[in-house]
Parts: sequence; C-alpha cells; structure tokens
Amino acid sequence: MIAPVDDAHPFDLDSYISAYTGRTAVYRLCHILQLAPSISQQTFARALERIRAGRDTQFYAAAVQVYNQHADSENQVAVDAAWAESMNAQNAVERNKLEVELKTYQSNMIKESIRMAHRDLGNFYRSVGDESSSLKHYTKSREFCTASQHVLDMCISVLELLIEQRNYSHVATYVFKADAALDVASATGGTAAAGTGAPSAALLHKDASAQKKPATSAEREKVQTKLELATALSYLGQTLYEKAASAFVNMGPPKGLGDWNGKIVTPGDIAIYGVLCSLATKTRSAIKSSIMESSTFGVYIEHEPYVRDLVDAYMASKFKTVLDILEQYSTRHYLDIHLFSHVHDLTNLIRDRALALYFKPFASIKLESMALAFGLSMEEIERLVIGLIKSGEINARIDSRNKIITAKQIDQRVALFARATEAGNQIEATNRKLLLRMRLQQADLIVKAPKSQNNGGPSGNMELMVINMAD
Amino acid sequence: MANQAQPENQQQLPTSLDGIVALITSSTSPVALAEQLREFSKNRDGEQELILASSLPGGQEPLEILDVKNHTVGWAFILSARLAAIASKTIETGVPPLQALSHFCENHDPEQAALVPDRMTLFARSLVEYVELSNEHELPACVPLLLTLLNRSQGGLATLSPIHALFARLCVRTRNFDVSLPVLRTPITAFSPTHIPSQSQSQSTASSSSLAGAMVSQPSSERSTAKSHSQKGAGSELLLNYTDHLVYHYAGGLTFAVLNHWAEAEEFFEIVVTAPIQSVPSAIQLEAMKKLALVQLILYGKTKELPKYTSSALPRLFRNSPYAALVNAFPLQRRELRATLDKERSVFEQDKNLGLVNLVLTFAPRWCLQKLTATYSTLSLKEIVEHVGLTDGTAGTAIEQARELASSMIANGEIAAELDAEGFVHFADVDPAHVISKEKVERLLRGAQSHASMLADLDREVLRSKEFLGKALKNRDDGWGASEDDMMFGGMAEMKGRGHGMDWAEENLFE
Repeated sequence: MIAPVDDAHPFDLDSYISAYTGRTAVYRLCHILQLAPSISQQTFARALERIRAGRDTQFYAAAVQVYNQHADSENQVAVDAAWAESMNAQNAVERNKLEVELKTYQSNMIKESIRMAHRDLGNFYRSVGDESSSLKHYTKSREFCTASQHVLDMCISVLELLIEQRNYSHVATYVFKADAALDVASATGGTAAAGTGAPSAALLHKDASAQKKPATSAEREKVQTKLELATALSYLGQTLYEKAASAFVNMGPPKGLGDWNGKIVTPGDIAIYGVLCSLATKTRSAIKSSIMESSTFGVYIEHEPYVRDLVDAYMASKFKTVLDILEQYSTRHYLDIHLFSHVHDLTNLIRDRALALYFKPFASIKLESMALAFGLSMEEIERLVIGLIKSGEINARIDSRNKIITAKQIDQRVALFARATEAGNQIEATNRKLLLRMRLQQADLIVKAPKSQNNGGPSGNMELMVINMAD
Repeated sequence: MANQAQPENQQQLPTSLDGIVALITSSTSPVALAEQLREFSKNRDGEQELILASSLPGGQEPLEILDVKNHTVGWAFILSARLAAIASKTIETGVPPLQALSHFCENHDPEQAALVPDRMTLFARSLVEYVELSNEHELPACVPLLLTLLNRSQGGLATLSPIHALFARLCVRTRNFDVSLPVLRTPITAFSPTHIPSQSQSQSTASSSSLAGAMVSQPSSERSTAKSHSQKGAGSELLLNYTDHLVYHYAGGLTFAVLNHWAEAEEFFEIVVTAPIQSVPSAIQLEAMKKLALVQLILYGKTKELPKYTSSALPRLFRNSPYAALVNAFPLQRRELRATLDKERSVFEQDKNLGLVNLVLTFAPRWCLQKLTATYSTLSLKEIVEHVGLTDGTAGTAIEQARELASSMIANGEIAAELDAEGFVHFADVDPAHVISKEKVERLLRGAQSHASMLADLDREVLRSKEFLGKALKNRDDGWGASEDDMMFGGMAEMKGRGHGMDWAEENLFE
C-alpha cells in the first residue's frame, strides 16, 4: 500500500521526525520510506544521517534496499561498504570487550558487575540491531538483580525493546513484572525511611504503610506513565481498541514520559491514538467526559490541534467534517508505525458509529440526504447501511425502490407474545425430551462402549444407511 | 399361582417336541410354562431350538394342536424357533404359512406375550429375516404384521420395545412411511423389560430346585452364547437395549424427514444425539448428528445449540466433517455450498445423505430471502436475483425463479410480503403469524396447563415412589425431611395460585 503525500494529504517530514530520537526515528523513517515513495529521497537522506550516527550496519543495508526498490534507475544508491566494514569491525571490537568483561565478572562472582555487564551487552546488541540477543541479555541480567530498582530498570529496557520491535503481546508480562518490582521498591523505601525511629516491628509496619503513599508516588511517578503507555500500546497492538482507548485517555501527564518522549512516542501520537480509539469504541458521553473535559489528556491534544477539531466535529455531529479530517490526515496515520495497521479498521469503526448515530433520531430518511451528510456516494452509503443493519447497529429496513431507510416499528405486544409463545413451546419440548432421557437412564438404556466382538451400534446403522433420501 | 407352578417345575424337562407339546397343553399357568420353556431352551447347546423348530413324529404340525389364544407362550416359543432356524438356514422345511403368522399376530394373548418378550422379539426379527431371505419383494407384507404386534402388545405403543425398532426400520426400508406415523407420534413413556422377568426369583423359596438347576446350567449357556450366533437368542440380546432406542428414533427421524415433517424429524434426531451415554458415543449418534444439522438448516436456516447434556465428543467429531463446512456456508455463500457439495460428494454419497444435502441446497435461497426481510422493506425481483445468487437455468430465467421463490414463500407463510405487478416485493412490518388472538392465547394456555398438570402428576408419582420415600425418610432422620416437604407443598400451592392469576389476566386483556 502507498500513502500519498500531496496538498490534500499534508505531511511535513522534517517537523515530524525531529520530534523523535534514537532507534524509533530510524524505524519510523524506514516505515515512511516503504509507504511514501513520493518523499523517499528526503526520507532516505534523513534516515542516512541517523543511521550513520548509530552502529547498525544491517539496518543500513536494508534501508538502502528499500530505497532502491522505489527509486528510479538513475537515483539508485550503493551501500557505503567502507563505512559498513569499519563499523562492523568497531562493533566486533566492542562486543569482544563487553564479553570479556562479562566473563571476568562471572569468574569473580560479583553479582552487581555481572548484571551491569549483561545490561551493557543488551544495550550494545540493541544498538547493533540484534534484538533477540539483546532481549536474551536483558532477561539474563534479571538473575543478578539485587535491588528491585534494578528489576525495574531491566523491565523498562525490555519494554523499550518490545515496543520498538512492535512485539505487543509480551508487553503485558513485563508491565506486570515492573509493577511488582515497583511495589517492592516503594515498600522497602518506606521502611527504610521509617526504620530509624521505630522500635517495634508492628509499629514499624504501621509507619511504613503510613509513609508509603508519598514514597510510592515519588517512585512511581517516574515510571507509572511509561508503564501506562506500554499497556495502552499493547492493547492497541492487539486490536483491543476499547481497552486501548481507556488506557490512552487515562494516562498520566506528558512529563511522566521522561526520556520516552521522543525515544518511543511523542505526546501528539498519544493524542491521536487515544482519540481515534475513543471515537471508534466509546459512547458520546464517555468521549465528552474523558477527552473534552479531561485536563490531563487535554495537554496531549495540544500537541496535535487537528485532533481537537476531529473530536469537536464528532460531538457536533458534523460527520462529513469528521470523515474529511480522517481522510486528510490518513497519510499522517498510515506513516505512524504503531497506528499503521489499525488505521483502516479504526476509520471504518468511526464511520459506522457515525452512521448509526446519525440515523438514530430519524424515523425514516432518504439515502440521498444521508449520503450528502457524509459526503459519500449513494452506492457506498447503501452498502454501509446494509452492513450496519445486518450487524444490528442500525435498527431499520431499506426500501430499495425509493431508497429510503425506515426505522423498524416494533409492536412490543406482538413481540412479547411471540417471545412468550416461543419460550413456552421450547420449555415444553425440553421437558418432554428431558423426561424421556430420565426414563432412559432409569431403564439403564445407556450407550455402552462397544465390546470388541459386539459392534451392534455401527452395524445396525449400516443397514439403516441403505436408505437414501433422494426426494 | 406360585403354588400351582411348583409341582410342574419339579417335573423332568421334556426331551422331544412331543413332550413339549404335552407340557404346553397340560400347563395351567402361562407364567410357569414360560419359565419352564425358557429353562428348557437354556439347558442344552442349540439342540433344544432345533427340537422346538422340528415337527411332530407323524409329520404333524405342532401348531395345529395348540390354540393360539390359550397357548400363546407355546406358540411364541415354537414359532420363533422355527422362523429363526429357517432364517439362519439350519432347517429348510416346515415353513409356516403366512396365514399362520398373521393368525398369531392377530389372535395371540397380549398378557401371555408379555411374559416372553425375548421370544416375541425373536419372532419379529426372524420373520423379517426370513421374508427378506425368501422373497425380498414381500417385505412390505411384514409391515402390517409388526404393526399388529405393536398395537396389541400389553404396554401399547407408548412402551418402547425392540419390535418398535424393527418396525420403524422396516417401514423405512420398504418406504412405508405413512404407516409408521401413528406409532412414531405416540410419545414413549415406558420401556419393555431390559432383563428377563424372573419369576423364579420372586418365588425363590418355592422353586429352589429349579433355581439350582438354572445356576448349574449357567456356564453351559454362556458357552453356547459364545459358540453360535443363533444361540444368542436365549440371551438378553433379544430384550430391549440402547441400540433399539437409537435405531427406533433414528429411523423415526428419517421417516419424518422423508415426509417433510421437519420439526418432528429434528426432535427424533436430537433424541438420538442426546441419548445418555457411558463414555463413547455410538456411530448411530454421529450419523444422527449429521442429519440433525441438515434438518436444522432446512428448518431454521441455521444449526441450533445442542442441549448441555450432549456428549462433548459428538460436536468435536462433527466439526471435522464436511458437514461443518456446509453449516458455515449456509445459506448466503451459494458458491461455497456448491463447492463443498462437489468436493465432498463422495462423502455425502457414502453417508447416504446426498439427497438431503441437495435438499438443503434448494432451501438455501429461501433462507437468503428470509434474511433479506430483516434488511429491506421493499426489494425488486432483480435485486433478489442478485442477493440470492440465482442464475438462468432449467427452471426458467433468474427473474422467473425469483418470482416463483417469492410467491411460494408468501403462499407457505414463510415470509409476510406482497408481490406487486411491477416486480417489487414489499415485506410487511409485522408478521401476521405472530399476531395474537384470543383463541390462540387460550389454546396456548390450555396446552401449558395440561403440560403443567402432567408434570404435577409426575411429581406426585415421584413423591409416592419407593425410592423417593426411602431417601426422604432417611433425610427425616437427620431432621431435614419435614421442612423440605413443607416447602415443596408450599411451592405447589404457589404455582396453583399463579395459574389462577393467569386466567384472570387473560380475561382482563381480551374483554
């Protein structure tokens, strides 16, 4: 698929990518390189800058290949083999150094040093682009953690790695581990603070819980938002849009993101994710309270003003504007690595909800005027409405001759009687069958496992099956 | 009766047909006679059946001596042994004329026949086997004979016996579907004995010698069962077992399906599928499951969830069969339905379900159109053609087929709609079938009341039963029984009260 970049679909690469740092910027650029060939030259130049600053030669080769796929024959570029080679050599030296260090520490049995060696190796492999080795060393370092703070650091590193890899299903595990580590950390932190003046253990415990609160918030504040973001992204990645919506809009303030701001996502991204997921799954009142009236999430929205326009248009039932905005920024959405695979589904969900919302107050409406309100063609709107009627979102029927949608008039009395009759008949039939079954059991007419020499069941059957039902 | 039986029990058992006929004619108690004859046929290996099947020394027909009404037990033994022997080709002469058979069916004494259910089954089964062997075209002649047997049996049609299964199967084989309807429509409320009614046990003190004899003979009879198939006739195989129940309902389901009584067919197949099982489901159950799914597709346009007490193995087996693909594609994906049919034709053919599958496919457009009524209030015939996926074919152009489809469905009351001259179908908002009238409600209420009283009767029966009282008394010792009983009666009184409330509500609503 290809995302167009033109006047109708504006996308400013420089201002977009300048907000990101580290490997995510490279990943994003490569993603853009694949999807937006019209700006590939510019993208490739930016990517090259950043790749050259790092040490990942494999990624470099991959980026060149992707670029060459889309580029004209005269614009082809070759891999800068000299740079790659020297970088590979450097990497080998660095890796040897780190591994030797690890070996020394291991023979010395110094736990803390071993942990740090593993962590360094993890960081190294990550920067080289060998994610599986990186993950291996990060998780190995856990065995040598002595403080829960170290466990927490490990979890955060792994989470960064997982999100970079877009391996969403594993995120929850590490968020959980980090949470547990956080609890331990804050508890011990609290006891340490209270331990000085408390003689008895019981009292100490009491004091600890009393002081736990401020200690917790201090510890937590640093990582809580990160963990929330990781959880929200994992929900999004697993297409649990409703959970993702709640997770995004309930996140802590942007400053809690710390170094993840730019390293993983930008606040603007969070605003987009949160709003799209909310519009696709939440009710109007929930959107009103969680997005429009939330001061925390409002801060995120400030970063992407068009998102506020989107919400406003939706709440004002200007659905044509909603669809227009979605279309206008579709390139922006498609070029986001986390949102990319969900844009299509989310857009459909939002449009379907909008259609259902729009029809709600009407008893009947012409398809034509509905098409006008949404800026869609008649065929398209008819197809969509039929889909919604079939899925039960819209309770109406279509007059195919006059192209009118009419709300279903349900005679509650008739419906009730029909239901009661149905239920009565069903109960009678069920009772009848159950009684027969009960009697069968009483008479011990129970299907027994076939004995080896007596296969009466199947043979009786074979005879029966001689009769075909050919009428 | 027990006292009368005693001296005869002690007599030496006869060794020839002569003696047997004498025993039969001299016996005054059918109960004792049944016991003795059963004893006789148990005693030796296969020979005694041959003795029973032979004729008298002078070539005289033993049945001519005996009166069918008074000596029903004797008739049953001799006739069944004879037929069985002929059917298994052990003897070739002495075929009783058909009149004798129908004479027996029509004039036997049901009370005496109830004493020898195994012999009656052997008679019925051998009858069918024998006729099939000698002249298959005469099989239909057996149908009325078996029907007479069933109608005249002591428990009546409502008591399931192996003859029920034989009969239902025979009707399917001979395509005498209509004949079996009255039998199939009688709900089963009881079962013929599943083990030989042993009078010897109830009067064990009186006839201790015969009991001892029976016990001595036990090993030999077991040996004989293993030795020859025909000897199984003496065993429990001839009494009602679970296969009879499965076969009866399976054949019944087939009958209803052929006659297009889909709802009843569904119920019968469901009974087979949900039959209580010990561990492994029977092959008949799996076949019934397949047919049940097909019938439900025709009846409801989709399959229904099976009751909770269904064995979990059956749906698992079913899911792996091509039938599951059929169920998933029904009714909208016509092309996939066709493709499944073409691909799995051999499987359907092998299962002898091809006809039914084809029928399911012809029902697909009806359910398509039925589904469209939920989405559209008006549709042109042309659009129906598109949605249903009709094509020009032997049955006329697609439009004609659509018109035919719509008008037949309207005529059958499957959809509530009108077809106008311009070729538009207007679907009504309210299905007139659902519109309620006073008569309809009254009828429903009467049905519900009779059902409730039936259940109440059953409840009382359970309350009176030995088993329940035993348990209740045991509980009473623990001090719980009394309060439970009170609660139960309270509950029943409340139910009655509610019943009156319904009468009152009904009056209010409709007058």
